[in-house]
Amino acid sequence: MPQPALVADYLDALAHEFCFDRKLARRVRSEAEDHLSEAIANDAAGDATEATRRAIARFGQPREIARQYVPSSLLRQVQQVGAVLVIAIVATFVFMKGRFIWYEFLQWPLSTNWPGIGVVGPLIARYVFRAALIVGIVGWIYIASRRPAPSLDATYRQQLKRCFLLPLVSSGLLIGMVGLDAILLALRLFDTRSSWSTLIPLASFVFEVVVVATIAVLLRRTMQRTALAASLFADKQTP
Amino acid sequence: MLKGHLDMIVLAALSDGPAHGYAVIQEIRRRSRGEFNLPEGTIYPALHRLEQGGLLSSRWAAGETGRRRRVYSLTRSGSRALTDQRALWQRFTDAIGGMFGETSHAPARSGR
Repeated sequence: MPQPALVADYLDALAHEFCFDRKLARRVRSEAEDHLSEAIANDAAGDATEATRRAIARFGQPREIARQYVPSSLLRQVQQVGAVLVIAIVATFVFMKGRFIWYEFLQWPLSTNWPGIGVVGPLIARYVFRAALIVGIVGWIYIASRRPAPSLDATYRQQLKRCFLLPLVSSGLLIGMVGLDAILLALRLFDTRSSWSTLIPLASFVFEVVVVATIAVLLRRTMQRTALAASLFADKQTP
Repeated sequence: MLKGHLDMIVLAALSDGPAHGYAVIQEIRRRSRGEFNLPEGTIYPALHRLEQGGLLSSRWAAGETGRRRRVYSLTRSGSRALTDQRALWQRFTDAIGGMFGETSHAPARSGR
């Protein structure tokens, strides 16, 4: 077998193990390729195929290498979720506040047909938002203060679980608040004749939905990647 | 035992200046006089982790052959961490040295 094919096969196998982080897979493949080229070139023995085999053997098993990247990769992914969540909370606040300013400017109160919801609804929305904000900030600070560990030991797994749960709870509250906002907006629009002035709250609400949907997609992707990373340890008793 | 000190070993190997992964491995082998012969692929996750922890920085650079390679260097935090680890290790080895020293002298004292 020619020597480049051996290296290519090994690099393919290595990249394949990084199904939990495609960006990282490209970086690792690139570094491993450079490393193997250097190791083969510096091998004193004459046979290129044997030198390639030795370099690959010294580099290690692809799965074992991929496992060692899991702690830092998962932390980086939850760090991204934490940062996007804080931006999402701020954006939601701006859209929500902007809508209320618009309602006041147009003196556009909630219909008197819904007196209970008109009082309780915004109050619940406000407290749910505050809870999402507090949990989100606590989560962000907690995530930002974590450092990647060399292995996925029990303590680190617990920390990662918290890093994931805090944004999940905050996002859940934010989604709940947006749902409540949708009801309040629908009630407000229900009794109003459609005009250009209704487009402003509608547009701001659409943006709010997009922001929350982005967070939901990001969380789902992180969950999928975590499951993929966990599958690397399936054949290992203690990760 | 070596695995538990890998971060310190990698930081120490980079203390003379920036280097790419293969050069870091060579430097570890050279400084340990061949005693530390790790699977070479294990150095890269450590480099990545240390970079994420802010102790190293990295950039892509063109090598002599024109191939792109990632070059790592110590950050200010990395240098500080290495100094702290070195001091800690020195205290530890002094203490262990003292323990072995006392053990070797103990029979002589009891014989008096």
